[in-house]
Amino acid sequence: MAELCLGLATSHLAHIVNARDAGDSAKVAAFDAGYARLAAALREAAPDACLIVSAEHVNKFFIDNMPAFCMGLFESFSGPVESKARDVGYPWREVPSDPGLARYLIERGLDEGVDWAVSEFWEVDHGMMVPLHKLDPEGRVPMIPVFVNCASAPMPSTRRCFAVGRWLAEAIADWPGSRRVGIVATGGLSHSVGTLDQGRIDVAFDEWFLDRLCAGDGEALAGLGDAEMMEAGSSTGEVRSWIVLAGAFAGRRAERVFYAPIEGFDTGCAQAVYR
Amino acid sequence: MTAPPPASARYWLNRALFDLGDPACRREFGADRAAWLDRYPLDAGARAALEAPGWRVLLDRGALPNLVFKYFMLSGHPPGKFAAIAGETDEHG
Ligand SMILES: [Fe+2]
Repeated sequence: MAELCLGLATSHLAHIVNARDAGDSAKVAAFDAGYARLAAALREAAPDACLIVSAEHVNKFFIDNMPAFCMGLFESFSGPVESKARDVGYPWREVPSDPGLARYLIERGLDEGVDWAVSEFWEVDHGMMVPLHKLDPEGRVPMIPVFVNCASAPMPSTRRCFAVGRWLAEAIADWPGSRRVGIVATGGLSHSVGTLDQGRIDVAFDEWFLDRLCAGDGEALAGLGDAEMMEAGSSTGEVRSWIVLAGAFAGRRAERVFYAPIEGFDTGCAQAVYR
Repeated sequence: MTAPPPASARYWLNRALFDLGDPACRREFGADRAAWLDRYPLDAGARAALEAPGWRVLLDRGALPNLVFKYFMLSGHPPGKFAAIAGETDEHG
């Protein structure tokens, strides 16, 4: 029996490492402080492994074969893939994973209707590597990457994301060994990338989302429609990863760690923790 | 030109943008943009939008915003200026 010991959620934009001057310095410092609190929570919980759940920015997953959900199955993975094209301001590195736990979750899912796509080679992008750079730069905690399609419609519904999170919690609890497992969800909140409303931040949406998350009201999040998320920004649908986390911690309250709309970062930046 | 392999209407446009993630393709793009575009069975409008580039047209034709944004940066624009620059481009490219 494994214990789901920690849930972390954070925005994952790379500005925090490579374009810090673009944002208000006080807000950027507070965002950093939030990362430090999440990193401390990770150290204190000392999970044996974590899942890291994120959108991906059409660096690997493409419309010739787009999964709704994909899990990595390997001893390790690496990134950030963007650094192959330009200096991204933080290092390329290898991240240890946990193929035993990943295989268990994949096989169980394939038997129970959570039909994971499987990746055995994955150079992940900033969606995972920026949070890992801030939370665990030395790679102490094995991480299992989990992709959620937030980039190309049709995408998994929020209801499905919530259900997959619930399923993850049950499957982790049933793990036959004694193990402490965490989940790190990354992305969002409101923002647009590569559309004409880039730079617009929907503070009302973000506040509503965080309020419901912190109230333990996952059902409200699982009722969000594609159009509502799109209305809050073309990339706001990345909150699907947060909804997977909310499903895993269904009924439990999250603690709000940080929120600020950071103009110049073009994003409603947020962090939360389930203990 | 022979008929392109069947695909969705937005596929080849996105394929061209996605392939810029490959270093060899990026080099070809840098050296000879027309040769890069010749690789793909694009209709005239899609090709013109990639050549211009016409940011709005790319989006209207179903190019994925993440790919459009990467193309924007590859074209040498500052990342924070997408809305301003794309907003100024002509509707037709
Ligand atoms: Fe993202």
